[in-house]
Amino acid sequence: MKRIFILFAVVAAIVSCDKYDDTFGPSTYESSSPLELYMLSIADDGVSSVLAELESALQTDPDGVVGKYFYTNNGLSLTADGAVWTVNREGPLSGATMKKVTGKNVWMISYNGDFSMNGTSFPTTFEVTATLADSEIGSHMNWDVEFSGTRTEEDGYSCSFSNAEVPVGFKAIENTRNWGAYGYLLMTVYKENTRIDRILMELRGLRSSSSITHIK
Amino acid sequence: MIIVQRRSKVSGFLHYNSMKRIITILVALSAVLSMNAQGRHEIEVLMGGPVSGIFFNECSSYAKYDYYYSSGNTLKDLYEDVKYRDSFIGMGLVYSYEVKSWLKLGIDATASIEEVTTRKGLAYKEDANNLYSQGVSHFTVMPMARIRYKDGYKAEAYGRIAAGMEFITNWGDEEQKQFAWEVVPFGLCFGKKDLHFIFEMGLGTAYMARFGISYEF
Repeated sequence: MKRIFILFAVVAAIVSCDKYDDTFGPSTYESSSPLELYMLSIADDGVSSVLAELESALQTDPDGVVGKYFYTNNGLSLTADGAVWTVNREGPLSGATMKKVTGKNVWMISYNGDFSMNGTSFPTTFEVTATLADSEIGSHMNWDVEFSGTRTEEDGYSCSFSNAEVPVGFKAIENTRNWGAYGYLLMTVYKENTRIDRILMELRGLRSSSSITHIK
Repeated sequence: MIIVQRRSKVSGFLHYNSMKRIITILVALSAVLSMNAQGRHEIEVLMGGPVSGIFFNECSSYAKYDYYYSSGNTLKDLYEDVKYRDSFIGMGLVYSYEVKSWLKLGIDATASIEEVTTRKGLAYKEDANNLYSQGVSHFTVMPMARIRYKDGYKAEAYGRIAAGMEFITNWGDEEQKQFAWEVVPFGLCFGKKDLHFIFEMGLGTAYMARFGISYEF
């Protein structure tokens, strides 16, 4: 009988532990929320990648080895009016095309393909118009950027995004290849092509200082 | 508020119907079986859990994992609700009679309550840590066969097999029914004379482990 009671006590203890097992714990979002991080990745992973590719191409000789093998171009330097370049190399923006706008330090970049953001890859489009904010082309520059795009994800979810009203300033961060984004980003979310949310994000240069507002 | 009250009434009605149905079935079958019984009767009162509906339903411990570790990397993470279920201990009532020295036939009825918790999508900061819980009750009624493997001085080893129906209430607004089954490959029964302690491990719809007492008359 003693053994039986011990067995009962053990079983009851196991069941109790299972019931109150709190190994998992809810996360808290005291800093950037998941939605903020998602939108920031559009600026930091998306538009910044486009600018990095543009700056790389601007430094490249169209007739050099890199210019011939990494890009398809019309023989003109990307700094020259009428230049059209396409990214050939494997990478996040493979297939993107870059065009110089005549008479201005402005480039138009378009991309359509699977793009990786936040570690997930889905069909994404970008239309970016980048205006050089500096007086001349250097190694890492400041840009004023107008952009729009779409992303189509799993289970009928998709979104469109763009800068809101005024271009977003991408200011070069010294000693890095990154930019701090300043301005407003607008994102609309769809489920089965029906709008379910619209969000305006203020970009203040650093991830921790951004803020979002839901617009119904 | 009106909607909540109405749901409560609907689920209460269904709950009452399920209970009534189970009791009617049990009484009727017990009466029929008793008339033909040659051997001894046995009543078992058991506690068991967890509800192993995780094998059949959309909500599972995997959803709970998704809740805690969802990073919001996709729009689905951000905008889709996640549900997970925590199992509670259920109560079982088993009636059987001895057909052969090694075989008992009877009815196994199990009632259990579990908690289903919903986490809203991560897109809204005010919802990120809010969980919405709902109690869900399960009633399982299964004709059952209990087979004795070995009978010792004070202990008996046995197996059990059962199949029937499970009634689920408060899961949405409508009662759900589904096929229920249970297999106990190994159980132990200890004790003297007519009163025994029981411990068994099972796999199926109603329970995975349970223990309790039985009385033979």
